[in-house]
Amino acid sequence: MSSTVLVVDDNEMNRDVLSRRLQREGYVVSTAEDGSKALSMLSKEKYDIVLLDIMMPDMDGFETLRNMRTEASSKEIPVIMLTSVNEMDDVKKCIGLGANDYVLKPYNMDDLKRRMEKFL
Amino acid sequence: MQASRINLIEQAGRLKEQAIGALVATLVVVGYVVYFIDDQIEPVKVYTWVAAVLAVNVYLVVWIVFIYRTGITLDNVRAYVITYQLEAVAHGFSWGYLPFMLAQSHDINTQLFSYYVICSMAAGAIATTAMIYRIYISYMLPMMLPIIIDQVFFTEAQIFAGSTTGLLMIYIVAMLMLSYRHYESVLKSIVFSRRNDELVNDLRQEYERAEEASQAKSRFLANMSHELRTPLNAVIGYSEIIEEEASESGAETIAADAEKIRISGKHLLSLIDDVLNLSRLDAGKVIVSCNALDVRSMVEELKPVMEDFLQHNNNKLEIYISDDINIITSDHHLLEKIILNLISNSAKFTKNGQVRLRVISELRNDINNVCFIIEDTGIGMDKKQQEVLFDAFRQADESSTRKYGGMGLGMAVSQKFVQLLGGTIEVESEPGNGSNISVCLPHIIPVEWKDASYS
Repeated sequence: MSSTVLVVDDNEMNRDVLSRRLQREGYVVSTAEDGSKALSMLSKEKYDIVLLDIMMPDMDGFETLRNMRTEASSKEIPVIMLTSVNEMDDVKKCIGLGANDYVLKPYNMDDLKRRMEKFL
Repeated sequence: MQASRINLIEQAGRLKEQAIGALVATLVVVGYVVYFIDDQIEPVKVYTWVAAVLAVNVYLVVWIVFIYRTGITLDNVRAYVITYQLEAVAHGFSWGYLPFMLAQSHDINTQLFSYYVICSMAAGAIATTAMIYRIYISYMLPMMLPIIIDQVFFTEAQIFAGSTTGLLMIYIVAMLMLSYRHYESVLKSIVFSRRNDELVNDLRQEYERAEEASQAKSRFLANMSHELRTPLNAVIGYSEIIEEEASESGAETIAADAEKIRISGKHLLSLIDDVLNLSRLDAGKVIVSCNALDVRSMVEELKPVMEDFLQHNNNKLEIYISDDINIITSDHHLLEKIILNLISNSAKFTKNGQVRLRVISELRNDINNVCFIIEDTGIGMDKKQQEVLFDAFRQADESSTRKYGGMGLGMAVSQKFVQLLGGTIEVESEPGNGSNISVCLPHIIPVEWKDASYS
């Protein structure tokens, strides 16, 4: 049974690239283009891991993460933040908010996979 | 006009500062005079005089209270100066009367005493009033002139009177000159201190403007780098997909082309990162946050990324971690960035060779250090190249830039990161014999470095 991944990123191409590459690696991937969509998906369905972008319009990665951690259904789901170098200070904040790990964009697929597998 | 009014405010401020002192000095002298003349003069006359002097001083007290309450402004400064001037005239006359009162004693000593008193009052008043020259004049002349006029015109010639009058006149002239000097120097110091304030102010504004500009610059760079990065991530991501799919379906040429796009994209991305990092370092915005860091697992995690760098020039990676290496306190992200920068640099200048990462413990200045030593079998560097290795702006001129795609800014960034972590970075190299770069970090970042930002 393959693991289910929820990719949350506002950039369409980022979502497309990441989900296609994850599918090639054998994951079952769903995508959400913003935080509120992700939260409603999380309340309806169960995911094994969430890959969460920080910089998003409306509800950013922080807000989404904070909301996830207050919901019983998504409290325990591992979250890996997707970030770029200039958001490093934000990443530290995310770890404080309950993120499990982070990866720098652009992802090295092997690196990302290994980080994901730690939680699956 | 405006400037002289502003000067007057400063002068009145100094007058105000001295007013209480003048008041106290007057009261002390009055007490002394009353004590000295004792019963030589009719008490009624003495107390009338004392009452007059005290009345003037009550006026001065009111003046002081008012000026401390309202403060001195452009609008009230003239009024305060004029009212003080009136006080000065009255005050002067009250002392000018003293020699006439004491003359009744027909005692030369007593009379001389009165001269001493008014002379010393005239001298003391320079300090308390001469910052505004006309106030000093208004005080001193009513005090000194009556006795001179009396001596010259009304007193029958006496040997004593003649010589004393001459001395008193010389004294008046001297006091006028001296007080004028004082007035001038006060004025000068006021002008200078104001000019000084203006200069300091200008400097501060200039500094703030520069600071603002520098902040705007780093904000711009941060935003710009984000804007550049987003499309670039797509380029790299899709080229990776094409590369994988093409090589699966056997389209080797397409796979090789896609690989070139991917590698160029990553190169461009790392340049953008370095520019951003340098600007953040310059702006003092790189924050060091220290945590317990498992060196072994960090290196393990970086392995695929390092291999990715090295495969391009067909290099082999060898990792050795000595057994006593485990947990240190340092900044995870900065250390990762340092190691990756160094490895990618070695990868660039080594072909079909080997890059070795050794992690060992070393005692330096009695402090446990963990050293990351990166050895390659690449082209190496001569002394001149080593000198500019960490210089972000001089590398761009080097001929190697064209040949090897340049060292980028990665080395300069790495060196600054190493400094932030309280460590050292050293290079050993010979042309043709590879390079050997070692980064040594203390097990625990010294307290003064902790959470510091580079500036």
